[in-house]
Amino acid sequence: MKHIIELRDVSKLYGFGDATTVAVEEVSFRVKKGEFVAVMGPSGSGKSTLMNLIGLLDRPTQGTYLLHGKNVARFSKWRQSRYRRDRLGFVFQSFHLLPSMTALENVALPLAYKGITQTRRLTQAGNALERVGLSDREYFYPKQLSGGQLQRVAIARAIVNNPEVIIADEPTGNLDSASSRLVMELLSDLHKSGHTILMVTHNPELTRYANRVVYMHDGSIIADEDSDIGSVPTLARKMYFRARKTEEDDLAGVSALMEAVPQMGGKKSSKKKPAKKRRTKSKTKKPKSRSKSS
Amino acid sequence: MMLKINYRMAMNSLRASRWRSFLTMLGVIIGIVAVVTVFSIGEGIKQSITAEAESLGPDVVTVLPGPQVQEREDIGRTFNPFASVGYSLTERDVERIRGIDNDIEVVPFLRASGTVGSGDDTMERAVVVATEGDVPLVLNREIRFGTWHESGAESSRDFVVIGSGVASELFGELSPIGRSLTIGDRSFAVRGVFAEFPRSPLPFMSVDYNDAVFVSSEVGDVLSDNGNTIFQVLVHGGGSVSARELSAEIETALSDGRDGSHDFSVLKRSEMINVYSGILDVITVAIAAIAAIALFVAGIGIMNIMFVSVSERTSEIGIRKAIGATNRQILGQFITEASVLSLLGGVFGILGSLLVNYFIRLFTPLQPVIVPELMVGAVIIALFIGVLFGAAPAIRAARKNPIDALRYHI
Repeated sequence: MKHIIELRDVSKLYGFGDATTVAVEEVSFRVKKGEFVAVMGPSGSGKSTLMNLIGLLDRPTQGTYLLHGKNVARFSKWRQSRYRRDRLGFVFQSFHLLPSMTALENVALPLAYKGITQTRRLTQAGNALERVGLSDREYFYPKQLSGGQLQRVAIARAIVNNPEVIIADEPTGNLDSASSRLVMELLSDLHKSGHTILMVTHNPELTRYANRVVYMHDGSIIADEDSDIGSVPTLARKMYFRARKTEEDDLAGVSALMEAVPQMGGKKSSKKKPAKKRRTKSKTKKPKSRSKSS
Repeated sequence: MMLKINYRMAMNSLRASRWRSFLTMLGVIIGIVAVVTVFSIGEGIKQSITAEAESLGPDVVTVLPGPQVQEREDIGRTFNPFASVGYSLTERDVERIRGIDNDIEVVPFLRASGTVGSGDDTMERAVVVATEGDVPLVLNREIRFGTWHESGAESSRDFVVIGSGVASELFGELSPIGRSLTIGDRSFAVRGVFAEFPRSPLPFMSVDYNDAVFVSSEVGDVLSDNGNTIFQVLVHGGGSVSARELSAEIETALSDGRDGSHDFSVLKRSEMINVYSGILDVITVAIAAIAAIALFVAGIGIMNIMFVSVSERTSEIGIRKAIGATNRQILGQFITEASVLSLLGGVFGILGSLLVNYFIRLFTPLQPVIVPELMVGAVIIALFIGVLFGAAPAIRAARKNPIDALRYHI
């Protein structure tokens, strides 16, 4: 099958000189049409950055990104926008709906940028909302909807232009398990109907919906395995506990950083290393840092 | 298509912050009200000047003392009432004009001194005008009550004809025929009252005939010891000659009597209008330019609030870009928003100035007129301001990097 997405040694760096952070380091990665790829890894491992690069929201610092076999580096901003509009759909962890618009208007927005007439826009948006089972919520504003409903509206918005690729960045990160299941079922349905899906997740349980799982750490892909839909692959199972640990790592890292900053004068350092050193110490601070980080 | 969508989005976000939108608009409203009001007052004055000049009748030519009207190379035709030379028009000039043709009616207007009163009341404002000839004809205004002086009649010595303003102020009635009026220490009886003259919008430039007491020229000679000055001569062509020919003939007749000095002005009606409205245009534009500063400030207000709005809505911009808005579409959205804001300000400003107009008419003698061109102009200016001052914030919005915008949190 043809590769819809192909990354060759793609890197993304932030900052300059001493303060340079490598978010994605020489990643090579290919996605075939119709795949459902789950991307796993601890926070700060570059998953989201990778998704942003693939989603044309950001440009790689180095490397080549071929989308449909075309080099994205040569795309003008206008062409990137058009690709985002017509061929890519985004689902974000924090939904990113516009609060001043109803669910229907939010879903219809991508069509507005396509220049489609109002009536056709609203009909298509209505159809999309129907697909996510929210026909009765068309005229609700985001603040009147629950988290799960919001994410379904966001999915409806992502699919309203019938894009080939749907990029979901922790779509269930802010949802309870029941809503999570609904959202995942929806993504699974979209996958079955031929959409290519890239999903970032922390939860190994959710990899059972994917037919391929990619593991990232410190900006690199450390593992890539195919998996059967409906089962959690072995690596993911192993990572289940590691994921928990890494979550602790994160929190420890935050508190360690908070401790470190006043003395160190905010000198930039890798998040992971001090975290590991101070893991035991920071456990007592966990509740505090949790409230800070949420 | 995109314009319609942009308009909807703009209305949406303006509605989302009503107060802020209104306050921003207020600047434009005030600016537009100021400019429109100044222009409408100017227009109103211009129209009443035209009406006043037209009330003279088409055949009347005005002769003024001194070179009050001059052709200048740099600024064209100018009018300077201070160039009036008191005694430059004389009785002999009047005779010369009379000599042109027997059919024409020549009426000199002289200012005589003396305080006008009745009983114990005095009217300081009233002016005494000594004249002879058919004044109702040249002023194109009829005597509403009573009659005009019988020309040459001995009896005219004891009678006056008054303007309606004198009648109502001094006597408190419309038709004080036969009542006694004093000028200085001399006493007269009121013989006639003029119908009301259109009120002059520029009282310093001409005599308000409503406040005039007309006496015969013989009486005028008696009232002032050292003679009277002719402040204007009105000439009625009598229907046989056109105003153009008449003024040319007067020009030659007066020039012949002088050795080259041109210390008089001959004006046709149309020239009167041009001269007055020319001055008025200058004044109006000058005041409007000052008022336009308010519009400039309003524009800066819009720019300011749009910058705030753009940075507040950074994540919205990020979302829009993520789902496929191009830079140009974001630019369009914010420019439309600024323009709608400013345009609405313009429309409300016009409504506001209609209201202001109403009150001006109610409480002042001014009769401001808002012509349709002025309204259209105000709307276009408002739109222009919106686009001009909305451009910079909109460009900033359009240039935002989508991923940075998405991540942005206040």
